[in-house]
Amino acid sequence: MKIQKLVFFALLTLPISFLFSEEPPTKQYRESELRKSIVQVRITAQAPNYYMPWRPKKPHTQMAVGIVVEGQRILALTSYLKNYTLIEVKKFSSYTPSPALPVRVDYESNLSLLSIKDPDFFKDLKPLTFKGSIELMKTVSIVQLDNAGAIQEANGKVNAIDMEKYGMGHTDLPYLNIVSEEKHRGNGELIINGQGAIGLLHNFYVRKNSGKAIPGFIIQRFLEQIDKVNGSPFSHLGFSYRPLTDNATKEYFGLSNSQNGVLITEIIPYSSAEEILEVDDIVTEFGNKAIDSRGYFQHPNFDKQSLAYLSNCGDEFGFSLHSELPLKVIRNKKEYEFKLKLEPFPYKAIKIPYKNYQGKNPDYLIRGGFVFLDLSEFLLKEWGLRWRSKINKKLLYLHDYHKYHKPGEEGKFVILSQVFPDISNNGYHHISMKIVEKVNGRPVHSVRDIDRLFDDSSENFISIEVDNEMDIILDKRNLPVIDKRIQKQFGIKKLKNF
Amino acid sequence: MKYLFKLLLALFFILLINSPIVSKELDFETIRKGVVQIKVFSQGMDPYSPWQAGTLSASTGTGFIIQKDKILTNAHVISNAKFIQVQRHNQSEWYEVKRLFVAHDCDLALLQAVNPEFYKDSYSFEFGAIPELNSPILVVGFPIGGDKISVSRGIVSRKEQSTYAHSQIDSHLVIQVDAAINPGNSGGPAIQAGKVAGVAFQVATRGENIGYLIPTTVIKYFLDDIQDGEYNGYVELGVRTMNSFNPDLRKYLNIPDNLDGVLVKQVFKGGSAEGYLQKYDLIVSIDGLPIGKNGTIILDKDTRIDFVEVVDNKHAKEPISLKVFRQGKMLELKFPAKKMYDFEYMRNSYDTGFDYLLLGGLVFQEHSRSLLQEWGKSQETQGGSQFLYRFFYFIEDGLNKDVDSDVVFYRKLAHQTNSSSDYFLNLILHSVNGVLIKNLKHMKEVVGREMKNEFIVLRFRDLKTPLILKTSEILKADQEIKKIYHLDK
Repeated sequence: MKIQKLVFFALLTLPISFLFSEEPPTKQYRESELRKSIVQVRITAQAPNYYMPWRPKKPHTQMAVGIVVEGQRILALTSYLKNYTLIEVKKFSSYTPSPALPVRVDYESNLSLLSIKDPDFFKDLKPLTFKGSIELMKTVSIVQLDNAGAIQEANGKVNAIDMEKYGMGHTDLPYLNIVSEEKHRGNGELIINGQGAIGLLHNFYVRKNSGKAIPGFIIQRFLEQIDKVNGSPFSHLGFSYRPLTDNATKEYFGLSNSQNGVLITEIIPYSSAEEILEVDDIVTEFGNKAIDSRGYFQHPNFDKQSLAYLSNCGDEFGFSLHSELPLKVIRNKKEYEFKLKLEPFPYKAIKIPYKNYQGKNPDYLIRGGFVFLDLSEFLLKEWGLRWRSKINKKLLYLHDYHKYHKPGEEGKFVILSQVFPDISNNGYHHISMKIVEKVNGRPVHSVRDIDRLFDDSSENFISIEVDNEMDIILDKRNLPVIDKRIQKQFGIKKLKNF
Repeated sequence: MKYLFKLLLALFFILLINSPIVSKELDFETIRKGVVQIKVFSQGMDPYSPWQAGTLSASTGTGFIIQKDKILTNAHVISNAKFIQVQRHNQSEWYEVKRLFVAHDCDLALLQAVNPEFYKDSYSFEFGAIPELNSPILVVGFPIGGDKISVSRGIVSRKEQSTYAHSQIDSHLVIQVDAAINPGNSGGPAIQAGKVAGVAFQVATRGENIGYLIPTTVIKYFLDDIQDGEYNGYVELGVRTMNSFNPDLRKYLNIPDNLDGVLVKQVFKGGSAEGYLQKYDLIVSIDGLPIGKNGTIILDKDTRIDFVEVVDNKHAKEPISLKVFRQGKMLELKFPAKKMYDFEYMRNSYDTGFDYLLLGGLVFQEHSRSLLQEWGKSQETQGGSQFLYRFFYFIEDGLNKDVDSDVVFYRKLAHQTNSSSDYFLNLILHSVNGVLIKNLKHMKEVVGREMKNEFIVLRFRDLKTPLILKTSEILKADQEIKKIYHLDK
């Protein structure tokens, strides 16, 4: 009887312990356990048309891998959920997918949590944890689902850990560089080693046989903190820097040849660095670590890592969100010590939206046939893959050099993108992608501003100043009739979307 | 009866003067005597490596004899030429020619054979008027490098203002024909009624069998300009305009319904109109010619063309007379035509080198179309949007208010001293040791003066952090770099 109990207990604990044992269990057995933690996520999405936001693009459907985590939620990649119209989750034990909704979304770590309305959905599922330690150059398994939802495994190797901004994020975070001879989709495939789950593949380049995975410790931080914070649980450095390798610059800024550090080149507005640091400061020590001339510190396990590792995800060194990170700088040839409060990326610093729109649809306004949009990178990318060489050079310059607000400045650039031709706007039909500067002599900072200025105007004529164009003059009294005519003529459902 | 005979005789002579007997087509033998094949060996300077000449290349073109011993051709036929020779039909010898005048802004050049023997038994062409639409025309030349003269017939299909590809910026009148114009035809005469009606010079990039001629108005402008021994080039009104169609805009500006004209959008610094015209002016007429709402005037009797054609035909200091409707009043304005020097950088440059400054291996040059084109080919486009924007909007956005010309750090000759300067590549220089840089010459002066200091601090536009050079290091480095990279000056 005792033996029977022991065997029963052993059978009960085996499925959990296999993920953390040194030697992986047999493939067949592991598959039967993994399928309780891995689900198929089917996302139907419809991307906005940023140039013609009144007519969205064709809907499309794609599959992603979801991981069952604590709290009866499914972990999935944010990049796969963007612009969703319907999310469905299918588990191993059911032929019918269940509808799901994102309840937490983080663009910085590319991770989101889905909830399922059906209370019984999680009954035969088992949450997975990401606690495996990462070892370089060791073989890992890459687990994905085929189209039928069956588990497939392939081998790979983690050959480096480096830092970069994930697809939709503004914050540098570590990623695992995975090499594999097999083809992968980069749609959230689970990476496991002998000790457990160590990451999710979120990018894979078939031609290069390599991909990038979100490390387990980033996923764990997301899972532990996402419910506790308003916004991203990852902090942002708040400044840009460049290497300081030449002696002339070091000497000019008061460093000896043996001293090292990096030169601050830009402070992100509204970041915690804004109040403390200055351009031309030289950071010599960051988070109590000596910084070399290229901005690296020596990580105990992952070799040289950029100093942003410490501020953005330095939990292991005691630096978490909202904590203070000590740093030493040389300013005007004198050494100073400061503490940098670790805060997420300040989205309100952005003048020209890029990387992500935080789930919002782009604003537009059509009045008198004139189409007004806020300038964003998404709008410029509507010109296709070679958009940089195709778009107006002024807009390209603004995109590159005026992405953030200047101190004290707010709002966005407003673009008059095109004109629906009508007898009332005769003479202006050629205008395309011009910056709107003023309406009735008042500066405009958003499409909503224009709408407000139109409505508030007590004059008969409304003047719109567009860069290097003749002012556009509209007789306000005629606008209701003109707007109706244009809406009907061109089949536009709504003349604005706010 | 006697009077009747006299009347009939007079009528006969009048008809004779206007008949094809007088303005008859030239026979082909005569044409061949005046058309010239041009052989050119050219070598331009390399804007990307301004210290060295480009590769030597050979090409051919066409020209024709005018004024007894002058040869008219396109500027693009003989640009960057190191050696030019000419030959006529049935000549076995190639004759060396010298360049008399080159006008890159209207793509014309005048040559002269060194040996008078070349002109023996030649024919000198005369110029006619602008041909009428739908009239036949003969284009003569040596296309595709062949040494046999070729003739193609076409019809005048359009007259318009268009950009001349040679300079890429200047826009003048062109005559569109459907005759085949091929490489080697360039510079050849287009003949109508025994006279030259244009010079073949470019083809449409889209569409088949569409060629363009430089009309005689432009040719005469060039020949008039060089009368004083130098070519001065075109003047510019210096305004941007827009049509006056919009009913609300007209109401807003109180423009009477029956008043046509073109509206002034922007007046450029340095143009003829600076200080005379204003935004919202409605230009009603130019030199007495009424301007339509779309900004056109009637040319000859069959074509409407942009009103600036009138300005285009003026030389510097000649008066421009405008009738302008401004704030409810009609004004008569008269001001002299001026050349607009700020446009120069926009034009392709030929025949001259590119000035530059080498500073610790960093190469600086003024922005120019030639540099922009070479820079594009080099794939060095990182951070190039600032350069591109300032190049194309330099005048329009008033970037020329505080500087004469932008100076760009566009490449470096790698050396230990400049290993960390890549961060600043392709950026426009703002200041040197705090002094705002107005052009390359100014930069050279400031750098020369500041070399007595320990550091040269270079600041670039839109960038807060500076590029630091140590003077003792760059002096030494420049000597080494010149040696390593074989710079001869």
